[in-house]
Amino acid sequence: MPALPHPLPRTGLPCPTRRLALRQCLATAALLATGAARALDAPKGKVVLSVVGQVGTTNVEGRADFDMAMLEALPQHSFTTSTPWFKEPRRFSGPLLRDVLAASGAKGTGLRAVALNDYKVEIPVDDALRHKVLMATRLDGQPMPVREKGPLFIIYPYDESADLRSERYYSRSAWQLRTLEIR
Amino acid sequence: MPDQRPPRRAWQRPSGWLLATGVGLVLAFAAVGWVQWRQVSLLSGTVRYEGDNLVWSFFQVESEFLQLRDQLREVQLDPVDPVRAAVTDRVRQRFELFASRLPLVAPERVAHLVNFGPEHLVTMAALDAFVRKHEVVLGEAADRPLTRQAALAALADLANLFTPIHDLTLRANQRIAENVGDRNDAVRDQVRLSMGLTVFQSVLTLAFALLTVRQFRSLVRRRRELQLVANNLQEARAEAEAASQAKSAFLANMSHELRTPFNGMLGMLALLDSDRLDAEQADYLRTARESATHLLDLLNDILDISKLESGRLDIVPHALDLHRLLRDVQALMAMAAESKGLALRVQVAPELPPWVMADGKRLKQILFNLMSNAVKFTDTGEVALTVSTRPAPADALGAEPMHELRFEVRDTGIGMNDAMRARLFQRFSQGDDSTSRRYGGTGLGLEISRSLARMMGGDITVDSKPGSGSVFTLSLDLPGARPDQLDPLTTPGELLGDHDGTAADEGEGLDLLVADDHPVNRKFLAILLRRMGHQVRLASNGAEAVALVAEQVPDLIFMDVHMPVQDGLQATRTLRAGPAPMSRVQIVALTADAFADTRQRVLDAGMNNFLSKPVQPDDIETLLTALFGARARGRRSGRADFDDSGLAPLAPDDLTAHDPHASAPVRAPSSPSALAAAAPAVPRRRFRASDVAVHLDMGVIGDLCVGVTLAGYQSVLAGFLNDESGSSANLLAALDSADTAALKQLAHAVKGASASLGLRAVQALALQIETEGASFTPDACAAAAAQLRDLLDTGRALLQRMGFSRPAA
Repeated sequence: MPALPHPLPRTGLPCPTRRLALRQCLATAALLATGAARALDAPKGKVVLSVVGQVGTTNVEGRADFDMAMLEALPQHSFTTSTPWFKEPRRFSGPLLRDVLAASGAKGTGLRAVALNDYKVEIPVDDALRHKVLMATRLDGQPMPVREKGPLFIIYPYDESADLRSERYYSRSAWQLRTLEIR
Repeated sequence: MPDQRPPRRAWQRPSGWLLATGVGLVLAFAAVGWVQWRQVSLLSGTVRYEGDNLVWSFFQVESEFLQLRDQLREVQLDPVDPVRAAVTDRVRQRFELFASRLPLVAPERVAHLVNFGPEHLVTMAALDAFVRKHEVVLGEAADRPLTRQAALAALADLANLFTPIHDLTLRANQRIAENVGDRNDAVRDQVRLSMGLTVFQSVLTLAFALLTVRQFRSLVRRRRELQLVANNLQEARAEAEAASQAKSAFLANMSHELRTPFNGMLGMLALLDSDRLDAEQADYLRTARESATHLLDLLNDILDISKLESGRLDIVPHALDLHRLLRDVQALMAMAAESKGLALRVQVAPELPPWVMADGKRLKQILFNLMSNAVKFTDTGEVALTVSTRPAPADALGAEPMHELRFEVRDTGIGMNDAMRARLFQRFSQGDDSTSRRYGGTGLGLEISRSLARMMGGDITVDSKPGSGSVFTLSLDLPGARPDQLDPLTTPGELLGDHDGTAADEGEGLDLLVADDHPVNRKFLAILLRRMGHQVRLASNGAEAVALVAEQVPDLIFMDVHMPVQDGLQATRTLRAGPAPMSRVQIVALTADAFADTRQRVLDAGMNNFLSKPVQPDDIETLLTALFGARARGRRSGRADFDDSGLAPLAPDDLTAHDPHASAPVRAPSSPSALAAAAPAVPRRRFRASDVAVHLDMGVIGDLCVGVTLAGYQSVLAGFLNDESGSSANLLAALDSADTAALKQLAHAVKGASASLGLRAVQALALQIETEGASFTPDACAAAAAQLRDLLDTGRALLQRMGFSRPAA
């Protein structure tokens, strides 16, 4: 593989400030609270998402697997935003990432998103709490085939803030998502 | 130090550099701002790179291609047909993943960013074709099981695509790297430019700061220089003021110092003038007096000029009787005019205000100057003074109206051409050099007159033609006045003193004290006052005066102001502070300088009145009369009372000095002394306004003129004066030889003749001789003779003056 020159440096994880750490503690506590409350059913259909790692609520072999029906059972959100991958702003809908984490009882501060083609990227859990990060299941109301970057697409509300319209957040927007590793 | 540098051009001046630097700075800031904006837009352009790493996208295509190929090779190795479900799922997922990568590197998406050449289009078309062909069996949507045959067919097609894909990846990599390199270069250039601009900016800022510092320093230096100059100027000014003060003080001192000896000299010369001198001595005396008078005039003119120049001459207006002033002027000029045979006319407009507020002394000075010049430069004809006024509108507030007065002096003299007229008011110019030598004078008169006129708010203008005389016009605007506004310290002619109401005690005389440090002044005043019949004590300074007053309080003190030991002001304060009656004694100041503030100081010290030296007997008499009434006449009477104890023994001739009308010089500013040299050999007499009343009986003369006509009177008078009958000579001879027996009869004759001719004084003396002559002592006879001669002379002179008699040929 040739070295990939990149005009812009990939940013690493942000250094947590004291406020950030506090928020993460609260978040973890919240997650723990919600996680401890409910149990998770086993998936009936084809598994589209597996949440592994430090999860409190599992349904299969120490991980939380979700099929599309389970994801669509979570509270759904949607917004329209412009993206670098589509010419025009598109409407994305699905559960909030933080709700998915809560449903799986995630106990970590960071997670790694892994896509079907083995693309990996680190996302701080704080992102899901601070922003309305969507685990999009539908594009313009329709499910996304793999060819169209489906079935799951992590979408940030880019139009909400200029900060989100940067390489850092674009790279965190993993599509063809398959696994969330909580750590 | 004055700035002698030549004026600099705009580009040389420091402020020009400052301005240029400032403009440069502004431009540099603008340039930097533009560069940085460009940079930001470049960078954000990079971010707008669709957010996705193109190189990564191309790599992903190749990567998925290879993984798909691997999956299909796995199928190839597995003989199961149809392919197992799990493997089919994996293959189909890979196929979809591969297909999903293609749109990301589609030409229409990336061509506008980087141009990858025509191969890009060809390769992409081939890939799209592959996907379309095999998605029936390999796509996720496929519902039939995958056969080995279909999979292998796909694999075969895929193998053909490896090289194009690989090449595409490489080329993309290179092209993108180039693009990035270009972009980096651009950014680097811009950064360099930015740095250069920043350096330039810094340099300009530094230059700006330096220039500002330099400007500031030069301003500080300039200010310091100016401060020095200001200090120098202030010092110079202080010096100049001090010098001016010194000059004024010198002037004040000198005016006193100079006038005092003049006072003495003129006084003594006046006292010398009597009938005891022979013709030659009288002539010498006259010359001496004229010279002294001329010198005094010159001195007064010089002092006036100095006062005018140093601004210390004050115009002191007071209520002035215009008509009286004009009469005085006329009286004084009449003699000078007559001695040259010129007619003198004074015409006064009837609407002339009777009283005005003016400085009488100075107004008289101007009129004397103008008229004496007129007389001086006229040989035949007349000199006319015309006084006119424009009617003044009454002031709405009821204040005294302003009168526009014109005093016109017109003569029929030599006249002036335009050149002379232009130089007229210049100092020492009197036409031309020959004129000044011929006509004498001080040459300062007109300058002083015009300055005085201007100080009073008016002016003097001239009109003249050579050969046909000149007209000098003094225009003045003067406010009207009321007589009750008379200033108590005016010239003695208008003095009003307090009448202490003492009973008229005829013949007693006053007890007077004279305090003056100058022995000549003391002697002169003493003689004068004693002749008037008063008792005089003398003091040489203020302390002595106070001591004498303590011994016996006099009726009046003549106090000189400037004296050693204790000056007049101090002595006055001492006296005023003492007990009554000392504190209430009348004190009159004598001072040589006439500054207004001296008068004020005199008043403030407590003195009652003020006389300026040289003192005129006239003024003293008026003053004493005003204050003491009849007592002021002292031990004078028409009687030949020769017993004057307390006085030094007088020679018989001195008895004539009892006559209050002894000729004392009446000071006229700028008297036409040169005229005296040209006057015919008629002894000049000075007359006083009361002489006619004393010596002549105008009623009798008038009746005679009516009875026998003027010509008749004149001829009879001539007979008496020429002594055709010899009666006067006989009487005089009898007196000279003390022939008392014949006196009665001879006196009777003279009495009759003089009485019928109106020679009152002669008549009175003749009557006295007639009634008492029989008992005359020889001394008395001699005295009477002298007096008779004097009265005859005076009478003759008066009648000649009036024109009833012609001078002897």
